Amino acid sequence: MRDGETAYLRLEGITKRFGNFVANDSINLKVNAGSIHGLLGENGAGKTTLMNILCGLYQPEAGQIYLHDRAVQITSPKVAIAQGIGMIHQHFMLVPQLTVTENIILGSPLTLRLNLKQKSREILVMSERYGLSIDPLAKVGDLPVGTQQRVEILKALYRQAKVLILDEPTAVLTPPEVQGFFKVLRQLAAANHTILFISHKLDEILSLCDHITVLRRGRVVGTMIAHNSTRQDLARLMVGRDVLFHLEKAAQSSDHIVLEVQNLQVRDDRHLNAVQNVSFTLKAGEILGVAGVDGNGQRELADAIAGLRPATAGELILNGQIITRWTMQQRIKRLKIGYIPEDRQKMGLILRFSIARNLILKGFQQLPFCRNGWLQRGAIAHHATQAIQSFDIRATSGKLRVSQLSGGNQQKVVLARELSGDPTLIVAMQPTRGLDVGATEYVQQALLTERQRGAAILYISTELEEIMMMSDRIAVLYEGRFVAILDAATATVEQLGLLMAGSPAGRLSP
Amino acid sequence: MSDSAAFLSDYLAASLRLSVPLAFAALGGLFSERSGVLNIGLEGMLLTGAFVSAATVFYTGSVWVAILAALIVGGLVGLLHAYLCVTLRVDQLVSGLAINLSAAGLTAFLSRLVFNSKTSQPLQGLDAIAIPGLSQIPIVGSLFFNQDPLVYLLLLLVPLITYLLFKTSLGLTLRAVGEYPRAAETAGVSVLFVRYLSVMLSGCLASLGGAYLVLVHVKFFMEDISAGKGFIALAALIFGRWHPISTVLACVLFGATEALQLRIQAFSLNIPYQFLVMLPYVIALFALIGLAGKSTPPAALGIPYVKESLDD
Amino acid sequence: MKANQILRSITPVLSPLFAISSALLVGAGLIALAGVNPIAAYSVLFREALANYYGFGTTLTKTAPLLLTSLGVFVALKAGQFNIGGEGQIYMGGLGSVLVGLYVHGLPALIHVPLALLSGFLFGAIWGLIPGYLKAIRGINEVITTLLLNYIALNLINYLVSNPLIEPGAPSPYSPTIATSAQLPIILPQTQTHAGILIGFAATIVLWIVFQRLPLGYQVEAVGQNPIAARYAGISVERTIMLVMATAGGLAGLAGAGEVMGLKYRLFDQFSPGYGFDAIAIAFLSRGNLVGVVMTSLFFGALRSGANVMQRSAGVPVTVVYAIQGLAVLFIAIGLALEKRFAIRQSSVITSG
Repeated sequence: MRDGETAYLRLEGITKRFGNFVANDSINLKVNAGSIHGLLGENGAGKTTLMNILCGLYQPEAGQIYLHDRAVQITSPKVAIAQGIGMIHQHFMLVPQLTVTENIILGSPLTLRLNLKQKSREILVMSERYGLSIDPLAKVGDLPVGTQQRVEILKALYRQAKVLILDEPTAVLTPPEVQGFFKVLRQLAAANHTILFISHKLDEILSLCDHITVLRRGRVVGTMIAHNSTRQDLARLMVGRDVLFHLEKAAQSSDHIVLEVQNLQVRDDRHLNAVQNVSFTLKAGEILGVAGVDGNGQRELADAIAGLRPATAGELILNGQIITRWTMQQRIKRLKIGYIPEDRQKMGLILRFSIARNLILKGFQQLPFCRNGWLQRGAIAHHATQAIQSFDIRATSGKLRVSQLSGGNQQKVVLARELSGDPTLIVAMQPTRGLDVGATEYVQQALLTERQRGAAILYISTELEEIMMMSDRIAVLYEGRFVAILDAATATVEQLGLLMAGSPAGRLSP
Repeated sequence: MSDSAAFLSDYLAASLRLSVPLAFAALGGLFSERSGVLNIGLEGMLLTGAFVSAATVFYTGSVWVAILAALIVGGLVGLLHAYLCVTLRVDQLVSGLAINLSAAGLTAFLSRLVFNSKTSQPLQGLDAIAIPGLSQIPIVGSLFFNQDPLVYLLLLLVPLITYLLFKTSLGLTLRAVGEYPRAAETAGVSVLFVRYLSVMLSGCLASLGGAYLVLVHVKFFMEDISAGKGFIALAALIFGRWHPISTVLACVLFGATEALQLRIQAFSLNIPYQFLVMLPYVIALFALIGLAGKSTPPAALGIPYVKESLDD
Repeated sequence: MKANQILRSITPVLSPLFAISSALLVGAGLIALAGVNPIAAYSVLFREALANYYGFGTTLTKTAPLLLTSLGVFVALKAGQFNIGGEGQIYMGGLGSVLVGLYVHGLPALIHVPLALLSGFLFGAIWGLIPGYLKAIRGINEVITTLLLNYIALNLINYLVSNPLIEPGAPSPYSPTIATSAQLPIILPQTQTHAGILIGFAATIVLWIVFQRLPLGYQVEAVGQNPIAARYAGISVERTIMLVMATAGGLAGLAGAGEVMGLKYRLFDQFSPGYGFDAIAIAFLSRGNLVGVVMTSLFFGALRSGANVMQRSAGVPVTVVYAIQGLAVLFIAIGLALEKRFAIRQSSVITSG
């Protein structure tokens, strides 16, 4: 570590407010050139806001940014780029309909002739220099996610970025890909680029970064040297208390098979097979975790079981009944399947409806909410009051609009709707995505309670740690197939990582 | 020249004439929608241009001042639409509709004041300028090279806009803003500026279409002279997949259909004229149906762009 | 906090009032431009339309088709659909009712009238279902399809009343008179005010019940607010859209039927002076509020009713009314957007948990 060097990037007292909400509170940060600095914090801690300030999308209410001890005002993305700050966003800022070259040169000084051929050649040379191989003429929308990320990085390097800010970059990578990615980052650091690595993943930050700053609720709660810190230290700083890395789970006892899936095949929106020949059984009181990098068929699998998408082949059998051809309406009416979608605001809730009205989204045509064709307002309001209590939703009444709730409380509304009524089967798609630790623990606990009650749960998530914690068995979904179904107690991260990346080790026999 | 050749020449000329207002409006719509802003208000802008040019030429007697006035007022209406959609983030459909209704009402009222029924003589119009030599070519010559300046402008605009859109960085920026505005913003582009410019331009172009209608084609103004041309232009835009050349070709198709209505007697077919008046609209409808799903608009079309947002 | 809550609850009423007042103000300017004293002009207009028995009758007569068509636009908006095809649907409704009125014989009024109304409703409903189907199943934007269908309907009716349906020997295109048994009764003696307005009020009440108390209303609103979530809850978004567009068309069809069966007893060429487009303005000004729809329809009806008198006695062209209406929509659009921004700044009520 090169102490005593002036920090290349320095933040002093950065504060950002959104209305009454303070997203960043007097943040101080020092990053040396040629080093990798980790910014750790859970969802909602203020990391992304801070980064958006650095790349010119937001303006802070107070504080100052220094580059090489020179005060700078980053008033727009253009200024940020001019100052040599390059941001690699979590959700790539790439236009899918344009080619790699077009995306990279977008926003550079306006020229009358685009001269794509020459630029493509330049970009190819650049990509080889940094070890980030790409095809300059490919359309970005056609590229796999890992390659898109390389384009995003090249975009920043093309603009002569000295500071690279990476926002949760490993979310879309398999564990083996992550190692390769880290190698590239270390090379860039060695070439004297300054790297700011934002993540909520403790292990990655520990293995990659030189220094770590921990954010909690908008404030800096600690800055430390990586190789002097432990997971426990970081977790405690991140959350503010000791965090359990293991959940208490009673052994699973029942033998009754709730769901049987046979040779399931489902097509995605582009009419390609997203799920191919998937078979498994799910017992009552069991959690089957489905691990895999996003985009390997998870959504199509969940949709098919819920009834949103037809299966092109195979059978779904619930409690002995073949429900493959049942429409969604039929499944909602006659079966008790809870479905927690991956995007609560887009798929699970109607933001402008009240809590009470959201709770009846599935049941508004049946008793007790509808009798003789009339909506029963009393029953609906009563149900809401009960749900608010039993699910600890922080709201004063059922009439409150869901849009005014926090992410965690919104998810609780979804849970209240899907879990009340004692469902036989629960499909949970990324149920803790975007939630802070408190809400995450609540959701996990609620699902474990359902497990205790005897519900069969399909837990689909891209967070490996979470799956290992929650599941009884773990299936790995790769390119639409279950490449393995392992016992959660004995499965290791390495094993699962390899399987998620498609490596044949430990696979199920075809 | 035989009868049929004369008829063909005449028919093509009429088709072109009828498609010019459509083409101007559609090209205007192209700019706006390529930047992601839906422009249902093309009809209103066209009507505005028609009225403004008619009134200006009535008062000043100069067609060129009239065209300039149409351009300016069209740009202002575009500015209004841009302000509503981009800054205030009103629903883009509502803004367009409001502009149509306001334009229809205002032009109807003001035209009564300006042109009371005493004025029955046609307005000063724009005359054709023949390009020497080229205009002598049979059929094609009089069609393309013996036209008024606005048509020449249109013929120049089409390749110009195509080049601009696909071969310059301005065009690249425009397309990026229409597909994924936030990506453009982080790359240093001002989405707001690009959208304002595009929508104002759409107002200017649509207005120019209206000016053509009045100054060259019919040489007078009346209520609802646009008769839905702005909407057909939108259909042409979808039909042409937001590409300048195919969009203008679609406009020519619709113009040709309308031209057919006025000449059907020549075929001595007993089709009632109302069905022929209906024809452009019916064809536009079927064009839309036939293309469903295959014509993809710019991805961010219709979605207001929010600069600062607190995502969860 | 209290002040904000009060403000938030009256804004739905305030902003349309503000928009209308602003439009009237601009209208006053336009009237002045025409060389007439605006105050004199407006007083003639409103006095004639509201304070005078016959004038009020005319107001109600003009309100009837406006109300019904606006209810149609309103219903479609609830499901997130923009029905701009009211004009065409009115014409088709007129056609449907006139066919029953002319070619069905020997029925008592008690059956003939509802039958003719039903026919008008159905014809309008089909004209609404077409774009509804195209939107729901094929994803084609309903704004353009409904607009194009307007022109198609207009020309279709024009053709029909000029040829097969024309009254023999008529100097201009119109149909023969419909049977007496198919005619709507007059409800205000010595005026032209027919039962159409009552149908409008009845429809309003039905819709109120649907949206306040019935699961169907909830379903429509769910689809309008978040079709994705609605689909995840098992609601058929496609069927809801089609149903809503058909209903919207049907209501506009009733408006057309009312004009034929109650006002003229014939199908006239171009019998709708732009009611379909006014309805859009009314629906937007009402901000999704049924009472607002009724009040605004009455206001527009009054404008139209008084405008004719205003033209005769004060010399102001009738078209100023169209200008005012158009501007009102513009101002309400601005008002809506400003309101949203104001609301976003207020509602940072992020409860923790």
